[in-house]
Amino acid sequence: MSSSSSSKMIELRSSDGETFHVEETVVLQSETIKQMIDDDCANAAIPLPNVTSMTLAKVIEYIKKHAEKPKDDDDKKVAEEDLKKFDAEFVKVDQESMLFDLVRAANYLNIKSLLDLTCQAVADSIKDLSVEEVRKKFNIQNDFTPEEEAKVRKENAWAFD
Amino acid sequence: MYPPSPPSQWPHRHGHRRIDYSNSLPDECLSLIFSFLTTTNDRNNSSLVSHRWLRIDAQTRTHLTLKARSELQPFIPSIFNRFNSVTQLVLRKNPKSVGINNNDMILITSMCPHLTLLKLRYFQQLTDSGMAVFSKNCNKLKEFSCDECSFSDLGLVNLLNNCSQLEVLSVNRLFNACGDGALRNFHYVVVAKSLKVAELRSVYSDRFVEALIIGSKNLKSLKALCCGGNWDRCLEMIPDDNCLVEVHLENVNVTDAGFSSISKCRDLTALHIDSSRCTNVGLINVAQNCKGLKKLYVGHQNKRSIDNLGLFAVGKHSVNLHELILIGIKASCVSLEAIATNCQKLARIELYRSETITDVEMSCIAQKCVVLKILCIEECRVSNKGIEALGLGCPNLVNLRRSARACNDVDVDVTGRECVSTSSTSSRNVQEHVVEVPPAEAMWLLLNLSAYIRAQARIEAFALGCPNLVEISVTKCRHVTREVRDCLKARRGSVVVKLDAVMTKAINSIPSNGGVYEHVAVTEPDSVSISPSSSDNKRVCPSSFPNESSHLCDSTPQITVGQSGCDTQPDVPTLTCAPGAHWNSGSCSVSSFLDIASGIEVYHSYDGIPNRYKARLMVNGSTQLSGIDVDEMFSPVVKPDTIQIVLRLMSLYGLKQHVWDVLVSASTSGYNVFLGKNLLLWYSKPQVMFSRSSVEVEYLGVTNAVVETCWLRNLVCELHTTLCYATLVYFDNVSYLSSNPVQHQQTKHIETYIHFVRDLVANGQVCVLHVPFRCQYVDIFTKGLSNALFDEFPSGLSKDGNESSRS
Repeated sequence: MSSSSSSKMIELRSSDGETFHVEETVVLQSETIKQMIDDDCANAAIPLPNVTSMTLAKVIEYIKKHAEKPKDDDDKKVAEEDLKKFDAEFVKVDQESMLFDLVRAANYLNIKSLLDLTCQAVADSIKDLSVEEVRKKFNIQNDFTPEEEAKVRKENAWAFD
Repeated sequence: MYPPSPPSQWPHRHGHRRIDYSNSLPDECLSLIFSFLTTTNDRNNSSLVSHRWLRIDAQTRTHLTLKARSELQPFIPSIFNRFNSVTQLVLRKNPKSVGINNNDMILITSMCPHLTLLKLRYFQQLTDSGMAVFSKNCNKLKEFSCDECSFSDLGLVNLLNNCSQLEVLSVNRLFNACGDGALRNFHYVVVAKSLKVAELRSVYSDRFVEALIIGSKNLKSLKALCCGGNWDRCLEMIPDDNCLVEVHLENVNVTDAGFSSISKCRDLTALHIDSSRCTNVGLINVAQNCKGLKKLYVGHQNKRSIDNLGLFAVGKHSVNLHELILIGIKASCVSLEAIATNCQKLARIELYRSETITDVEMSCIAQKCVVLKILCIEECRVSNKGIEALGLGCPNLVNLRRSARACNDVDVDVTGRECVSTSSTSSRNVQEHVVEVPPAEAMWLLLNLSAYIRAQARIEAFALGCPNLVEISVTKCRHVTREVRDCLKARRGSVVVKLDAVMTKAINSIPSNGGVYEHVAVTEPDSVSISPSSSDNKRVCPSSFPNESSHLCDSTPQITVGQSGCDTQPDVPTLTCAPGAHWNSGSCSVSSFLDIASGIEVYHSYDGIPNRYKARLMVNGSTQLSGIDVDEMFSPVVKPDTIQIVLRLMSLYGLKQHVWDVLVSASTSGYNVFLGKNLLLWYSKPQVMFSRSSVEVEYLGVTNAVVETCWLRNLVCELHTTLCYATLVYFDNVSYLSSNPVQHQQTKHIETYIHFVRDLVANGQVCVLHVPFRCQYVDIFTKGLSNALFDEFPSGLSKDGNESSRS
C-alpha cells in the first residue's frame, strides 16, 4: 500500500455488467482483489461474477468509509465513533436478501471486517427468535420429519449455558 | 419483504419461488453467523431450522456444556456423534442428582478426541481407575478442572501422567486423599512437563502436592487455598531449577522453612502469603533471594512476628516492587520509608488493619512514592493530616480509598464523627475518599472529600498544592462554606469549587414565610433540639417544630423542598431517632435534617389517601457530631456477655467501676469463649436443629461458636479495644476439616453454615484449628468423661494461652 500507487484506479465489473472505478488503496481491503493485483491480473476491469451492481455499490461505500485515515489522535477518536455509527447504519438494510448478498460478497471479496459485521448483523436478527420465526424470516423450508425434529429437541435439552 | 405465498409452494417453482436466503450462503459464512450467537438457546433453535443448519451448527459447536445426569447415558452416542468437533467440554449437574459413571465418561472421551478443556463438577460416580482410563483418551487436554468429585489424588496423578499436554490444573474440594487402603504409604510419581498453572483449593493430600511440585518442572503459578497438610515439606520439593513466578499460599500450614524453599524461586514476581506461622526470618529470606518480586501480599492474622525488620529487607532488596499489600502487619515509617525510597516503581499500596500506620507513615509515602497510583488504607490510625499530606504529595495518585472502621479509638476527631451513624453495622461508617486523576494528559482532578475537610485552610491547601487541579467538589463538609470558594476564585481562578449540593440547594429553597426548614436554619447553635417525649423514648416528635403537629393532623404536604426524596412527599409526621439527639445549627442542620427526611415512606389506604407514615432514619454519619448531634443510640439493653467483656477489659486496664445501670435482656447461647487467658463465656444448650449425623452436629457447633465470637469481636471493637488476632476456633472432629463430599446429599442443608465459617476464615477473622479430644475442655459440659480428664478440665478452663473459642 505505498503512497505512489494511491492514485491508481482499479476497475471492477459487477455480475450485471456495470463498472466501478475505485482507488487501489481502497480496494486493497479486499484480500481477493489484492491477490489479483499482486498477480498482475488487474490491468483490465476485474470481473466479479458473484456480486450484483447493487451489492457492489454498497461494498464500495463501506470500504471507502473504512479507508479514511484520521489525521491526528484527536481526530482518531472522533473517527472511531463515526465509523461505529456508520457500521450500525450500514447493516440496517430494508431487505433480508440484501444482507445475505453482502455476506456473500464480503466472503467472496474476502473483506474480514465487513464479513464479521454482516454476519453479526444476521446473528443479531435471529437472536431470541423461535425456530418457526427463523424459518419464516429467511424462507427456509423445514426438511425435518417430526420424528427427526423430536430427536434433535431431546438432544438439545441436555445442553445448557 | 417477500411475496406472501404459502411456504409449501415455493421449493419447486423455480420461476417465482421465494428464495431461501441462507441457501446461497456458503457453509463457512453460516458457521461464522452461528459463532456470533451467544446463548445456547439460540444455538439450539438454529439447529432445528433445517438439516443444513443442524449439520453446520454441530460442526461449529466447539464448546459444550451438558447436564450430565445419569439419564444422559442413552443420549451420549447420538449427542457426541453430532457434536464431533467439541474441544471444550463442561459436565455439570446439580449436587443431588446422580451423575454419569466411569463407563459413560470413557465413552464420551473416546468420542471427543480433540478435547482441550474438561471441567467436571459434582461427580460422585467417578473413580480413580475410571480416571486412569478416560484420561488416556484425552491426550490433547490442556486444561482440567474439577470440583467436588469422588476420585482421589490417585486419579489426578493418573490424569497428569496420561495427559502430557496439560497446562492448567484446577482442583477444588478433593477430600478423598487416601486412595485405597493398600496405597496409603505409596509415593506418587507425577510427570507433568507442560503443567504451568496449578490451583488447589481444599485439597488434603501432602503426597499429591509433593509429587506435583517435583514432577511439574515448568510450573509457573502455584496456588493453594485452604489446603491441609504440611506445606513446608511440600515446598521443600521445589527444585532448584524451577521457573515459578507466582506463589499464592492462603490458609495453609507453612512456616519459615516454607519461605526458605520459596526463596529458591529466582524468577518469582508475585508472592501471596497469608499464614499465621511465618516470621521476619522467612520474609527476609525471600526478599534477599527473589529480587524480581513485583507483587507482595503479606496477610498476618495471628502473631505479630512480621514487622519492620522483615519489611525493611523487602525495601532493601525488592527494588522492582510494584504492588505491596499488607494486612495486619505492624509496619511503621521506618520500614515504609525504606520501601518508599528503594522501590521506585511502587504503584499500588494497600494497608489494612494496622495501628502502627499513622499520619507520619502517610506523609512518608506522600513524599517518597512518586509513581504511586492507588492507595488503600483501612482500619489504620490515619487522620486528616495524613490524607492532606497525600493530597499534596504523590503526583500520580489516581485512586485513594480510605475507610476507618469503628475499631479506631485514637482519632476521635475524625473517626468519632464517622461512627455517629446510627447503623449498627460498620458498613455505613465506611467512608470512601476518592481522589481521581485521569491519565496524565487530562487536566482535571475531582476531589470528593466526604467529611474529611473541615477547615477552609485545608481546601485551600489542596487547591494550591495540586498543580493540575481543575475542579474540587466537596460534599457533606459542614465547615466548608462559600467563603473558601470565593477566596479560591480570587487566588486561583482556574479551579472550580463545587460545594455540597444538599446544603446550597436546601438553603435556596427555604420558604420565606416561616416554614419548618427556615425555622431550623436560622436558629442559633443548639437552640433547636429534639427532646425525647416522656412516654416513648424511641419515637420522638420534634416539639420545637410547631408546624409539625398540624401536618400530622391534616396530612397534607405544605412545604416541598427540592431535594431527593422530599419533593413529592408530605412532611415529617414523626421522626424515629436516637433519644436526646440535637440538631446542630446553621446550614448543616438543614442538610442533616434533609438526610433524615429522605427516609420517609407514605402508606396509602385503598382509596389513595395517605393513612400512615413511616420515617426511616437514614442519618449520614458525616453530617452529625457525636456529643452534639447524638449522645447514645438505641435502647440500652445489654447482653450478659457484654457485661462479661466490659468487666474483663476493666480488669485488664485497671479501670474502676463506678456505677452499673443496665437492663439485661434474655440470655443468649457447648462452647467456651476465652479472651486472653480468661474464660469469658460458656455455652451449653441443646441445639435447636435436629442433626442426623455427627458431622452435622459438628458443623452446627462450630458455626454457633463462630457466630457468637463474631458478635464479641464487634463488641470488643466498639469498646475501643483493637483485636489484633484472628479468633481461634478449636474443635475435635477431623471430619469438619476433611468432610467427605460423597455425603453431599446429607449435608446440603447445612452447607450454608460451613460457608459462613469459611467466609470468615477467608476474611481472616477466624482461624479454625483442630484440638485433640483430651484438650477439648468443652466436653466437660456435654459428655461423661474419665476421672483424669474430669479433674484436668476445670483447671484448663481457668487458664489458656490464646483468645479462643472451643467448640
